[in-house]
Amino acid sequence: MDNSKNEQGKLVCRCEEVTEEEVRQAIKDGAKTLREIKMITRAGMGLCQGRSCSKIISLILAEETGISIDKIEPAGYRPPLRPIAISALAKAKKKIGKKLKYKFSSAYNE
Amino acid sequence: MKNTAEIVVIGAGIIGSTITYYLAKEGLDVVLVEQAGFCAGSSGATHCQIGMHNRFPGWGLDLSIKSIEILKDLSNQYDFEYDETGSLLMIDNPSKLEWIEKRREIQFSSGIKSYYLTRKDLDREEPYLSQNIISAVFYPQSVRINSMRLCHALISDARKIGADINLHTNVNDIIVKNRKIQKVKTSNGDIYTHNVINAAGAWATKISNLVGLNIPLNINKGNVIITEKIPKLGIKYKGEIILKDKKGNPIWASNEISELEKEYSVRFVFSQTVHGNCLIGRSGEFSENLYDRDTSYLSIRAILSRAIKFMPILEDVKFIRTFAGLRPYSIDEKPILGPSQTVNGFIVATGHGDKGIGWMSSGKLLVDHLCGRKTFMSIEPFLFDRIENNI
Repeated sequence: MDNSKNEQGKLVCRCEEVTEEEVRQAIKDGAKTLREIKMITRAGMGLCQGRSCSKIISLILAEETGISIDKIEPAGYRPPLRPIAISALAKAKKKIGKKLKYKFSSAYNE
Repeated sequence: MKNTAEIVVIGAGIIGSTITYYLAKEGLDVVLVEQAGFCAGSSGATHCQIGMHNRFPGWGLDLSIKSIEILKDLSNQYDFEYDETGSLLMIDNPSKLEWIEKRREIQFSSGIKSYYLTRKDLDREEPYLSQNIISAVFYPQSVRINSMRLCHALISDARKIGADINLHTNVNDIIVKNRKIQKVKTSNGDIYTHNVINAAGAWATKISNLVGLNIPLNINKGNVIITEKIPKLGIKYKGEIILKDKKGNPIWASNEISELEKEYSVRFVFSQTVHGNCLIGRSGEFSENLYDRDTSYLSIRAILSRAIKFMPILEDVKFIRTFAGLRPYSIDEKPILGPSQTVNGFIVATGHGDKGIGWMSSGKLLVDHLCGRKTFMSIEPFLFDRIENNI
């Protein structure tokens, strides 16, 4: 769908209302990873935490920089898997036998 | 990447970015090297606030006041969500009122302003707080920023005025000959230089090992929770304070602290960004593993269980993300700034613990000191000598 006449531009991140132009500008300003694009534009910081937009942003990043799409790492996985009410953990009473840890894969860990 | 430099800065967190910015402004030929992206270490995992409620007369306060001055000035040029939120200390234990009043008096003597909010004031202005809060103290001079946007602005500007910025570049070795630095070996090539500034935060020990030194740091891991966007919930920065006994062990100022909260050294702190998301903290665990940035279920649970004791309204708010950061404390909890006396050209800028943002002025202090300029305060308390002589 061509929105080029729309003042707002094409939205790539609906949660934070980030346009394609903003993403491309961030890349032109030096962003080379999804995390950096996120930090600059807020794309991926909304309720869906990048689930809707990271694919298309990866494609834009690959197109602008020539980095191969399969070399583009996500901005980092963190719990919770989806938005969850604070009371779900704050009021949890069940003792658990061993500490649960969520391993995350991050573009910025060695 | 350039292969020569007057000075190489290692680390693009708040301290490294600040130092690079001021060095570039001095016209020095500076190359910045960072293993990950900008602000990817502790500076990217913080609450981003400078609270005056915990400051007392001394070097810590002086650094914080200067940082706020610098940030306020920079906020006229760059947008990093600089927000003069003030901070609210909540009191829920009447036996601590006298102690808090004593604190206020000492703070006031060095210009830290504060005033009480009574229970009636709270009903009117902070209706979301638990009824267990009997009173609160407001510190108007506290501020919040967005550290990511600040680092990005400082680095972009430094780049415009000639600094060579290299992200996603590992420092593999620093070659020293006849006790003088000769070059830095990176994953993108070598940089010939005689001066290196180690602003690598939690990784500063690793960098110091490359030149045969060993900067001892105590790494403390903290978790933070981010909520969905919600309407403004009163003062955008509030928390509880911890009284410490003579040994430095915390005495919880609150009436009820659970075993889990104690285990994770939870102290409630809440802040709200300009976008409406809230950050909830804070926990602390001693950590040895620099690669362990996991958020653990139990620490998140501990933070949230304490949070709803102070702000029950948060129960129904959804959280969307959690993250963890490493606080690099020096052994005497003072930042370490200054040149090595044994390795010529090796300069240290680390050990800021949980106050990298609050003490970002230390970056300017170091640059002014290195360039022979008049410094806004004495650098003497922070010099690397005091640690180096005891390594």
